[in-house]
Amino acid sequence: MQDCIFCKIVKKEISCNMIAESTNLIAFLDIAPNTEGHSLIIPKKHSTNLLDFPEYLGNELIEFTRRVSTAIVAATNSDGFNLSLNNGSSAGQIVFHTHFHVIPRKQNDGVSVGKHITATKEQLAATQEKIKQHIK
Amino acid sequence: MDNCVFCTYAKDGVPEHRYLAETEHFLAFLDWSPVSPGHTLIIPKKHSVALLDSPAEHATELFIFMQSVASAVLTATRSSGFHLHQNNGKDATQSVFHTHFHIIPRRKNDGLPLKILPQIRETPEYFKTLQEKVKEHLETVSF
Repeated sequence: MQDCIFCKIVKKEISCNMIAESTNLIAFLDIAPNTEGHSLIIPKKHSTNLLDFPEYLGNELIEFTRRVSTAIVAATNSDGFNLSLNNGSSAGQIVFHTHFHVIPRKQNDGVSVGKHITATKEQLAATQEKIKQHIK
Repeated sequence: MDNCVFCTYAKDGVPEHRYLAETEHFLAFLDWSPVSPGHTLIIPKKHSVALLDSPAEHATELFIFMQSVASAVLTATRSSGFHLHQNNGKDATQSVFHTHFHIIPRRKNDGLPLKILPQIRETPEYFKTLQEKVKEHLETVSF
């Protein structure tokens, strides 16, 4: 897609710190990392977010993510990682080419991933009903 | 697996007020402690601890299911976006050790942070060194 920075990275028109590649995916380091080793996994073919990500790439994505994240965790002496995708500008998506963040984590690293709110059983039941109506 | 709350959900059912939907291999239900209204979890019915020991074989089914559940959650909660989030390991804030994907609906100005903090600024040299380190480890990893 024209003017898509990640499409340009795929086409090698813009450089990146690539760490791995599979048939349909690439992994490279995030330029504004939350932690050391923070990487992005993107499909080579343009899609916008999770909702239009081709589901037939699911198996390849899971296998590739396992392979890449194992390497990142080992490389950074981390103890775990977050896999995260922001879908839509209200969720903080900035580049509108589907990308999965792999964020390696260590104990007490001070990274904040959102605080919890409390909901009553009734609130949960009401939300549940609303969502069930929309499940296809 | 014994003493795994999500295995219990898969086997005996989710508490009625939190059940949403299921496919042959996956189950969706509301998080008991939501970050935002509509916060949903998607789990494989078969036990795995986290992503690294999750089989990839049903991932197509998983992605179709995640897409339809996320779309339903967004419409139902009138949200315009969501986070897909998955924690691997205690130090990544995983608290139930049965693989699960969070879907966290977002709206404009909902008061939640837009970014995971902090963001670090590093030099190209830093990235280059790290890239090499990761690549070395990639050569030793096989699935």
